[in-house]
Amino acid sequence: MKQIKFIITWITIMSLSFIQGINCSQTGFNSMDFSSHNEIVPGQNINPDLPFALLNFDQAFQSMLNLTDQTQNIKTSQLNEFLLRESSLSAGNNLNMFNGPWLIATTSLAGEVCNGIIPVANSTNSNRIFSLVNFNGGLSELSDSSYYGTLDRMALAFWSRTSSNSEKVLFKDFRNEFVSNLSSTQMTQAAQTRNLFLATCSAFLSSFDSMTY
Amino acid sequence: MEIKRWTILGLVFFIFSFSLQSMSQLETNSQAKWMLERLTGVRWPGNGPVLLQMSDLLSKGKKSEAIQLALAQPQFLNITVKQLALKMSSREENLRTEFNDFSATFMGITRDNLDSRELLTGNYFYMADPSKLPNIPSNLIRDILTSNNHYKALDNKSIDIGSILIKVNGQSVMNSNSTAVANPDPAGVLTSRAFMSAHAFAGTNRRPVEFAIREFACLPIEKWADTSASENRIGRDIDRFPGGDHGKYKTSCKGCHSVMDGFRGAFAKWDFPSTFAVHSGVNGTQGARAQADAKGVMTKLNKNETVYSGGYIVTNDSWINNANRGINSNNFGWRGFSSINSNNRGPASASMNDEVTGYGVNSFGALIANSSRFSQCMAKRVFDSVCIKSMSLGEQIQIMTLLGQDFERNNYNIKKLFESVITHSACH
Repeated sequence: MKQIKFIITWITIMSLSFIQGINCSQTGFNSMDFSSHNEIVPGQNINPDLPFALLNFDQAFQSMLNLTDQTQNIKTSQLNEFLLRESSLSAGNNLNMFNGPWLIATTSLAGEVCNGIIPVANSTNSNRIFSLVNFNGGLSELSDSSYYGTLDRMALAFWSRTSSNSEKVLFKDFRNEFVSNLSSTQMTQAAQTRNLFLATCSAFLSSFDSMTY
Repeated sequence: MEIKRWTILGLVFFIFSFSLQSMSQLETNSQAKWMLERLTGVRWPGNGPVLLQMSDLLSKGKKSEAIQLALAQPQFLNITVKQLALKMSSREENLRTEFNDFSATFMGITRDNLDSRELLTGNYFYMADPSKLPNIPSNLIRDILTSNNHYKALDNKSIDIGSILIKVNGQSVMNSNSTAVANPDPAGVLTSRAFMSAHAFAGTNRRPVEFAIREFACLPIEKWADTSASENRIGRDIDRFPGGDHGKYKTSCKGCHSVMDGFRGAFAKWDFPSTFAVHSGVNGTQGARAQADAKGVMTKLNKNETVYSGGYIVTNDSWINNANRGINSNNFGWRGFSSINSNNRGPASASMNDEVTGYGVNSFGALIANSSRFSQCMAKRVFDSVCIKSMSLGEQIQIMTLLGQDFERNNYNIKKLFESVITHSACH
């Protein structure tokens, strides 16, 4: 229970940190005089300064699946999580629709999507993103190069860029905090290796960079 | 020393050229990513094969092929086009609308590169191929005409809807003997169950007129209200002295009703009383006939007749275009309807510009579809869908006019419209 609370707390903190660092503003999306739909949807009078738009609920889920190459084999648990969370996700593309419930919903959904690609112990690790990690071993065996190499792969796959130094520091601190809460026995357990990457993957996939286009 | 200097200079030049090339490649990659994600509505892996292929095509100057690659991805139809259509298919105009026959037909017309004016005139609809999805409820009467079971079942993230839709020629309606018969007045999505359930349910059949213009001409009612238009078609249920003030009627009520009631006759024989649309012209012994008078006009069009007994009585499904003068003289760009309307029962006009009256929904739909406003509206909808940015009114008018003309030159092909929009400088 403590582990789960810790994971959720850290994912939330990391996601908020990414958002603070992006200096996001509102995106252009006003067609006041020509079209009828801005009459219906409130809050669409926003400045056209940034080329970003928020993914709406359907786009967000499909994006997560597309980024993790799971569009052809959606799991029931993933679909159920989406159905549970979709009302908290954005109904449109306005950045104004970003809020607390949205953040929690995307994080939970990302967790379930990541759960579908992170290998379990004693299974074949054929995923291109996580191939550097030995999921049969504990965190005591996880090298820095494997960890940061996997982070680089996630950044490239999910964000189409490399992670910045500040982001690397954030993940380093997260890993240290995660490990500091484990006993020596837990450090040898394969399940903890999976938990670490599940949390990391969820943070990547639910971040601002993954949820805008 | 001299050689060393030249070597250093050469090295600097080489690094500079390489950097320029890398920057150029970076820009190409960035452009490919932006186009792909905006057209498909989802994020793509930065090192994925589709993005790399698109980037490669762009770097070789093959922009059109790059865009076709993006349009070929299933997400283009299943997300971008589907969401565009869903917003148009309900009164709430939002994405949390159940998938329906309106949206399926819109997707099908887009996929099959059909003339999109058939959205308002076509005598067909789209559904899932039952041979590919045998577990989806596909009975015409039970699951398509009298309920949304079929389309609701398709709204499943595991199903690539765009690939399994088939075109079914000949729209059907239910008659009062619970039989599906040929629709006597097919008009594309205007006679779809989704549109009828949203707008012909209850009321006085003015809402279908309002929303047909709102969705396909991008004009909300206040934009086409015209107090200078003729009031000869305004119904008896409209008070000419609201609150005892005739001036209020003249300056306010008349504006909307002169146009709306003029067109309303197109839907005179249609109703959506419970779970399916009915047309009084369909043979039957009860049910549909019970909701219509002896002339086949649904009784709801002539209710509240004591409000103003001198008002217009709807006696058939004729309509008149009262939106062609004053502020509306430039709003719509009317170009008649007979050229694309196969169901016209009115007299032929000398010129298309004189086609101001017609019968039934099909000719009403054709009138809107053939207008320049329809083309501009479709351009605007696609622009909003993929560009997601605002413009000044002047810019809008200029750009949508040009995009609309381009759309018409490409035979009203929606995919071509997406291509035109995504490559337009205003979109970036």
